[in-house]
Amino acid sequence: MKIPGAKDTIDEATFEQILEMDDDEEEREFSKSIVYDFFSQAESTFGKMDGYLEKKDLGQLSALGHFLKGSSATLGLTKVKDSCEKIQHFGQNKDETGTHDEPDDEKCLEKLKDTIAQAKQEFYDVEKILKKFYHDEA
Amino acid sequence: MTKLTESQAHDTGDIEAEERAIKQLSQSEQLPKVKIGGFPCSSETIAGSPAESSTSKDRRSQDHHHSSILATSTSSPIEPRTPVLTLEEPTPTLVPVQDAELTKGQIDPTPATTDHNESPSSLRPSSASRTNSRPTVVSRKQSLVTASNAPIIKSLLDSDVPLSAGLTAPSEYTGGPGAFSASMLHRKIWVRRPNASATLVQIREDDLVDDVRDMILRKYGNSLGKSFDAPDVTLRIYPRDAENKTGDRTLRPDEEMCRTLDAYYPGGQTLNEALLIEVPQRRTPRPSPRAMQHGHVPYYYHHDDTRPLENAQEYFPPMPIVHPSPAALTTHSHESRTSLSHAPPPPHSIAILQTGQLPPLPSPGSTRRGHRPKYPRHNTASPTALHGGPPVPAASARPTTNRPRQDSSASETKHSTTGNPPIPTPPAPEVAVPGRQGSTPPIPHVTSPRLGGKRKKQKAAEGITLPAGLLDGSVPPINVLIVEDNIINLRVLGAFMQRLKVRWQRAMNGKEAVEKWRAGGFHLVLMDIQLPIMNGLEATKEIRRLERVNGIGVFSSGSAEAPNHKLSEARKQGRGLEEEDKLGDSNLFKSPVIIVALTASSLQSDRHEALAAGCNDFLTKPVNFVWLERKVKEWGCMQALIDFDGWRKWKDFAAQSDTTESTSKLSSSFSSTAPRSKAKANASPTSATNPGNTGTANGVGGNPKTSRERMESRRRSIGLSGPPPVLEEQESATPPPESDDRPVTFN
Repeated sequence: MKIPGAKDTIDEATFEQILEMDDDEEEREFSKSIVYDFFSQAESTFGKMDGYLEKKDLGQLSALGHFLKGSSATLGLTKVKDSCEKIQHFGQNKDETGTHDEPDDEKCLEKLKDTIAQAKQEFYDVEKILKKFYHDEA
Repeated sequence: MTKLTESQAHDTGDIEAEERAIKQLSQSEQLPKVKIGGFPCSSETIAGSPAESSTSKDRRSQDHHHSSILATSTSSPIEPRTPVLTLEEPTPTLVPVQDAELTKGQIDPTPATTDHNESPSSLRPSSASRTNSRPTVVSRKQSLVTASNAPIIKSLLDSDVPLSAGLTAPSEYTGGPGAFSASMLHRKIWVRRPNASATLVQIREDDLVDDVRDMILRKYGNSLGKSFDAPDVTLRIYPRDAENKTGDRTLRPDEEMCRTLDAYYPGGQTLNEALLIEVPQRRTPRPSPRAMQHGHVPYYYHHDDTRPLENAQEYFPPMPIVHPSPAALTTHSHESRTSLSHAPPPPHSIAILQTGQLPPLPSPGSTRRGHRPKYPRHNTASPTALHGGPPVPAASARPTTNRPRQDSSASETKHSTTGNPPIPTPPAPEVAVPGRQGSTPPIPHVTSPRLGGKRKKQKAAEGITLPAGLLDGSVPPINVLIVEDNIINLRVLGAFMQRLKVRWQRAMNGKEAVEKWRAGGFHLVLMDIQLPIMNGLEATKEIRRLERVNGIGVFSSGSAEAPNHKLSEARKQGRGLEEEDKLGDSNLFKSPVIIVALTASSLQSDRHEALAAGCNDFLTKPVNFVWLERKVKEWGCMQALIDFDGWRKWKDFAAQSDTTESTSKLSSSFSSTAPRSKAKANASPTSATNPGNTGTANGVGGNPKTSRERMESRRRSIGLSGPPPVLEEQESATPPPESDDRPVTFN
C-alpha cells in the first residue's frame, strides 16, 4: 500500500488509479487537488447534513448521502462511502442496506444522526491519513 | 525405464528374466506388431520385485535415466507407436502405484530396450548399486507419465482385453501424454494466448520450457511465428489453487516442462489450466508518440493484450491525437502491451463491431475479446464540434429537406453541416446522390499513406488523407459528454478523458445533458443516473425520444440500402415534428448517441432499468478506468464504423493541424477564400464560428476543432460551387470507390 495506515479506509486500487493520473509522483498535483477538493466538499456536505438533520428533511439527507457517496467512492474512501450509503438509505425510509422499509421517520432520523456522526469521524480519519500522504501534517 | 527393468532383473538375481526380457525386446523390435498377449511370460519373471525396480541411485541419476530413455525413444521414433511398444514405457511408472497389478500382468519389454541402448554401461552402475526405494520410482513416474495416465495403464493391465485394443483407444485423456510407447514420450499440453481459447501443443516428455516455446511458435505460426522468435515468448503458469493467486509465475526456459506441469497440476493439466503465452511487443524501435505515455501504460494493457500483434497497427491506439505517424502509434500500443501483459486481460466487447450491428446492443456482459475494427474512428464529432451555439435555433433553422441527403453521401452532408440551413443549391447535391450511394458503407481505402505535406495544399484531396489515417491508426477524437453532478467525479472522469485525448464536455444535471446533447456531435454520453433536476434515466429517455422523432438511426446516414425510402420517411417525420423537438443539423446526429450509464449500485435491477431507459451500456461506480477506457474505445469504434466518412474527415483535420502551426490563421485565410460559406456559417446559429463557446469544452480538442472548422468552411464552399465530383490531383491515388464519396470537388 502506498498510503500508510489506509488499509481499511481506502480502497487501494481505486485510489491508485487516481494517483496514476499524476504527472509527477512527487508533486501529485492532480490527485492532491482532487483529494483536497473532496475534503472541502465533504465538509460542506456534512454541514448541510446537519442543517437538514435539524429540519428533519429525510429526502435531502438521502440526496446528500448519495452525493457524497459518489465522490468518496471515486476516491476509494470505502468507509466514508459505506456510511454515506447508509445515510442515503435511511433518508429513503429504509434500513441501512436499503432492502427493507422503515416507515418511522423518527427512527430514521435517529439512525441518520448516528450514521452522519460516524461518517464524519471516518472522514476525519481518512483525511488525516491522506494529509499525511500528501505531506501536509498541518 | 529400461534401466529399471534391468535393475529388477538383477535384483531378483534372475538372469533368466533378463534374458527373457532381452528376448522380448528383440522380438518386439523385430516384430513391432507383436501382440501384448505374448508378454505375460516376461511379467512373471519380473514378479516379486516390482517395487524394487527403482534404486536410490536411480533417483539420483534420474537425469541419466531420462536421457537414456529419450535415447531409446528417439532410436525408434515411429515404430514405437505399435501396441507393443506402448506397453513398455508405462510399466515402470506404474510400479509404485500398484504393485499388485504390475507383478501380476506386467511385462516389461523395457529391459530389452535397455540392452539395446547405446549407453547401457553408464546406467548400469546405478542399477548395480541399486537399493529399493519407491520414492524414486515416483519421481520417475512424474517425469515419464502423468498421474492422470495411471488409470489408463491400470485398466490396460487389469483388463483381459488385449492390450492392443486398450492402447489404441485411451479414453481418459487429460492432456497428459498422448499415447504410450515412444509416442508416449510425447505429451500434449494446453496453452493459450491471453483471452484466447486454449490449444494443445505437443511436446516431448523431457522438453524444457525452451523447447516448448518452439512448438508454440509453430502452432501459432501466423500470429506469433511471423513476428516473434522463440526466446521472445514466455510462458506463465497459474497454480490450480485459485486462492493462491500470487502463485503464478513465468516459467524459466530451463525448466522441464512436464515436471513443472505435473507439480502444478497433479492429475493432469486441464483446459482451464492452460499456460499463458506472453509475448513482448515488437521490438522495432520507434519513436514514442507521447511523453505522457508512462503514466498511461496501466490503462492500456488490456487492449494491447488482446489485440493480435500483427494487426496492432490497425487498431486504435490510445488516442494519439494528431499523430499521423504510423510508427509512433504502433509503438505505443506495443509498449503498453508488454508492460501489462502479465495481468489477465479482461475481455473485449467489440465483437459487435465485426457484425456491423449497431448500438442498441448493450454490451455490459459482453466481454469478448474481439477483433478490433479495422478502421479507427471517425468523427461524427468533427462536424459537431463546430457547433457551440444554441441547439434549438439550429434545429429550427435547419431545413428538413436536408435530412435526406445524409443517406447519399455522408461527406457531402457534412459539408453542409455547419451551414446546413444555408444550403443554397439543394438540387445539386441531390443529383450527386445516386452516384454516391455506393460509398455509404464505410470502406477503408488504402491509398497513399502519407499526406502530411500535402495537407498544406488547400486542394489536397481528403481521400489521400484517409489512408494515412488507416495506417497510422491514430484514434480520432470522440466527443464525450460527461453527465455528473459531483464535481469530484467530474474532474476525475474529465482528467481521464483528457488522458485519452478525448474531447469532452460536462453537464451537471439531466436537463443540461439533454440540452448539450441537442447541440449535437456527441458520440458518447457517460450518464450518471442519480442527478438533480432530471435524473439520468429521464435524460436518457428524453434523448432517445428526440432521436426517435427526428428519425435518427443507424441507417439514417451511411446506409446504402433504400436511401430514398428512408429519406422520405425522415422527411415526413421531420415535418410532423414539434418545433421544440427538432434537432439541429442532422449531420450532427448521424447515429444514436451511445449512452453509458454510471450506476452507483451494482444491483442488477438498476442496470436493467438503465438499459430499459435506453442506455447502451453501464459502468459501476467507482468507475474502473480500465473499463472506462475500454468502453470509450469500443463505442468509439462503433461510431467510427457508422460514420466512417466523418472519421476520414477527422483524419484530414488532424493531419492538417499537425502540419499547420496556426490553425486560426488558416481558417481566416479559408474564410477569405470561401466567403460564401462563411457568410452562411454565420447565418447558422450552430455555426462553428465559435468553437470556444462549447460549454466547458476542455482544451484537448481545441486545435483540431478549429482546423476542422476551417475545413468545414472550405468544404462547404467547395461543395457549393461544384456538385459533380471532380477528382484532379488525387485521382490517381484514390481508388474508384473513393471518388463516389468525394463530395468535395476542387475547382
